[in-house]
Amino acid sequence: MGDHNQPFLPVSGDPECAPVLGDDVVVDGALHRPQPGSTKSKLLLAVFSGIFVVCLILAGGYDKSGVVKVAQLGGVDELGVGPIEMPAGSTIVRPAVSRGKSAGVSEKANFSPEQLLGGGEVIGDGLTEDFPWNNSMLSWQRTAFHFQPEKNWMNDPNGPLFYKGWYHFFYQYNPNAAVWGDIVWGHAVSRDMIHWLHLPLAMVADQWYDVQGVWTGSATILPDGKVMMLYTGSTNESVQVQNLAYPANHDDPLLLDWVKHPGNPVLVPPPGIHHKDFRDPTTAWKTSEGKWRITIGSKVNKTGIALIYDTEDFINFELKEGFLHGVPGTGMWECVDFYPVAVAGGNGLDTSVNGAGVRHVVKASLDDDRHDYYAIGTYDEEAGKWYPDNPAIDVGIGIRYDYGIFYASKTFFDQSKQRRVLWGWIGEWDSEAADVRKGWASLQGMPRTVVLDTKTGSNLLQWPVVESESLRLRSKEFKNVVAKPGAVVPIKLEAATQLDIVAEFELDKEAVERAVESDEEFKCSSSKGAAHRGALGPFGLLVLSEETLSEQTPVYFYVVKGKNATLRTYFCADQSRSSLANDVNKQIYGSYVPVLTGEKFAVRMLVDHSIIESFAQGGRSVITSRVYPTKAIYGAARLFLFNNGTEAGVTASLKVWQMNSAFIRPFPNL
Amino acid sequence: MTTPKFANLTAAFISISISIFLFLSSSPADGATATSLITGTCKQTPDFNLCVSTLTADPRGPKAAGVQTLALIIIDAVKAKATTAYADIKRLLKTAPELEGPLKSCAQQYNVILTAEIPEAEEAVSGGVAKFGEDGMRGSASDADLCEDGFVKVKSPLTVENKVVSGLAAVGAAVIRQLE
Repeated sequence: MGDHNQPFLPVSGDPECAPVLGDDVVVDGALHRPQPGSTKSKLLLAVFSGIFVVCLILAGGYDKSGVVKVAQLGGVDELGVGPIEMPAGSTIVRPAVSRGKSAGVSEKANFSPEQLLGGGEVIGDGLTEDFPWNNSMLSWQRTAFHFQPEKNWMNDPNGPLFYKGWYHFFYQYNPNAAVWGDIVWGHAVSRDMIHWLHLPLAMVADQWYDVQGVWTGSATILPDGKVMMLYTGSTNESVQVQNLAYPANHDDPLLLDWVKHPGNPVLVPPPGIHHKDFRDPTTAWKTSEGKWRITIGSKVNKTGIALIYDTEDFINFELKEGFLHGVPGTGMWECVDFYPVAVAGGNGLDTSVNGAGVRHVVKASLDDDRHDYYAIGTYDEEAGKWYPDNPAIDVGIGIRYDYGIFYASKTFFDQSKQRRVLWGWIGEWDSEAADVRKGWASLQGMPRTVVLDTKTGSNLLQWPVVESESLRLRSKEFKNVVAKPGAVVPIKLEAATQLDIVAEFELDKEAVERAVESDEEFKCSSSKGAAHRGALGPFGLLVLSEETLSEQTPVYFYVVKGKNATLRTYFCADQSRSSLANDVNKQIYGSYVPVLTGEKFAVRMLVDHSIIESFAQGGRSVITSRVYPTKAIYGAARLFLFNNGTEAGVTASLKVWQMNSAFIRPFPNL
Repeated sequence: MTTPKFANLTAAFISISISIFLFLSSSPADGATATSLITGTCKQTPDFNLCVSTLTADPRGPKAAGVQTLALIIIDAVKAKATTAYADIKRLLKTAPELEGPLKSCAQQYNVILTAEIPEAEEAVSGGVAKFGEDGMRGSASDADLCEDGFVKVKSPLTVENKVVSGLAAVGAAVIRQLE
């Protein structure tokens, strides 16, 4: 390996190295690339534009803003005030950028904007070309220990529950293609939420009330142990309705067969609610009147809302007046979730728990920006209302579960281990064409326990379920590894594609004290990623990196020393150079993360081929990334420690485990 | 300082420009009118004219009550253009064997558009989960671009068609966005 202390990242002051963020953007699986254009046609365009401008002026103005609006999400990215980072599901029309020859450049040189757009290195003779994905690269992307079906498309987690010794997981599935469509319920079981066994489809689209789609739903376990499953169906006329289903045989621990209630649908869109804004019923919880209560997300104009229904039998429902809650401007609330957390932390709580020592979480998946938001607050059971502790960070405008790719998430109460577990749909950040080619799309996140952060009181902590540790094989420890400013230090491992990493970092105290106070207003998404040099960062790990760093995915901390010497820490992931391919996500994203006095900078990372899940400060901020390297795969993947700050050295201690496969496969002998 | 001769020339130029502009902007296909729904929707797309002309050319367009219908019209238009492009690719594979490499790649891209992305968009828009429709349209635009980009050292015989599919699909994504 090369020099340990040679800076491998360009100096931030160099204007050539400013990444042109937004020009080459992948938003949720689709690529937007600059339009090629030749000089000649540009000249002609200029001439005609001149003539046209005259016409426009005379015509009294014309809406030239044909550019689709980029949803402006303002606010500071901190757990405190509107921590929204990524542009919301927007399309940015590419300006005409001429793509001429670019010479292959090593990572140690300066980068032109084109090279940053394209990932830094160029293949072949230098003319831009579609990236030549081959089967080896594509098949490497499948994960070893994350839930995914054998093939085709998956999206939302559905009806998770623990029943008669088995964890059950259902999911939105397309049996026919690697894109969304023809949705039915897939099904799998596991003893430990890690080693999943695929079962036959639980429900298919065979009734008029779900023929256009068997959509998302949730399970409620009654006191007598019976399971009620409420789910959304898209009818033969594309109306969204709620249906009831239950196991055909409650003695079957595998819950193989399901019966749809003959009287379905049990709920149709109420007056004032559009028939396409009514979906994703929650798990029910008990009211003080002894009834069951559920909530269903919707919207009125641009206000996202959660409707409340009470029922005694899951068949007849009463719509409660008003909404559980609503937040203007947030748009449609999908996959609403509502659950209690203990103020004292510790165990999770059954969904029906209420009373002193309990806060309630409301969560919504915002259709508009495809992110999951939650807020902590107070549930007024009698009024059927919930109020956020801090309206400034209300649902949809405040904290996200995850600052990477993570949507349609849903929790359930695991009564066997008294914990609340969070599932989340992890989509793809490559092109749909690549998904079709590789024959599958989407993963589920590693299930996470969710508790209130007792130290801050204002956010949740998420952490991989403890069973994830059963995948750990051999480990290597690296204690007190020093990375001076500008250093890249290889972490020598036998392999680097299936890892569990626990790392702690400390900044050189003297350097921190010496550092000048900065008024930098930092946001991961508007920074230059790992190339954005400050006095006290960025520092962290280069994951799924190639030996010469032609491909690298930095996951890192960036510390700003502000007024009164207070330190503010940001936790980011930088995909701008994660792959030489030009049809994958290249964004930089993350959030502010509170680091309390006495805490070191700490991160746990699960690396599993094309997914990286990074948990900072014990799960105070989480980032899930989908990464598609072309070279840093199989035996060529590497892990590095890096410190691209300018003033402070970093001392890191890490323990890295090789992770076993979970051997997810069909249930044997069924 | 303008001379009288120059002023006359300017006036003539301006009048011609106005006429051309008025002519161009007032001639949608089939004489159908662009309703305010159509113009309002199309203003929020990357290609207003393409959007308007496509929607007014379809009999459902001027009668459309909502954006959903407009979205379905655009999806249909993308499907039609992609179908023709695909047929041309197949034909060219026989008549232009020297372009086999990029043409085969294009066949792959258009196959994905026709068999995966357009059905995804249709089902999603009909069902009211617009975001997957956006994905389908964006994916279609990307795939048409990928086809075009595959012709690096030779001139692409499909440029016009690729640009139409890409442009229309981008319009489609923007229209569908307004459904969310």
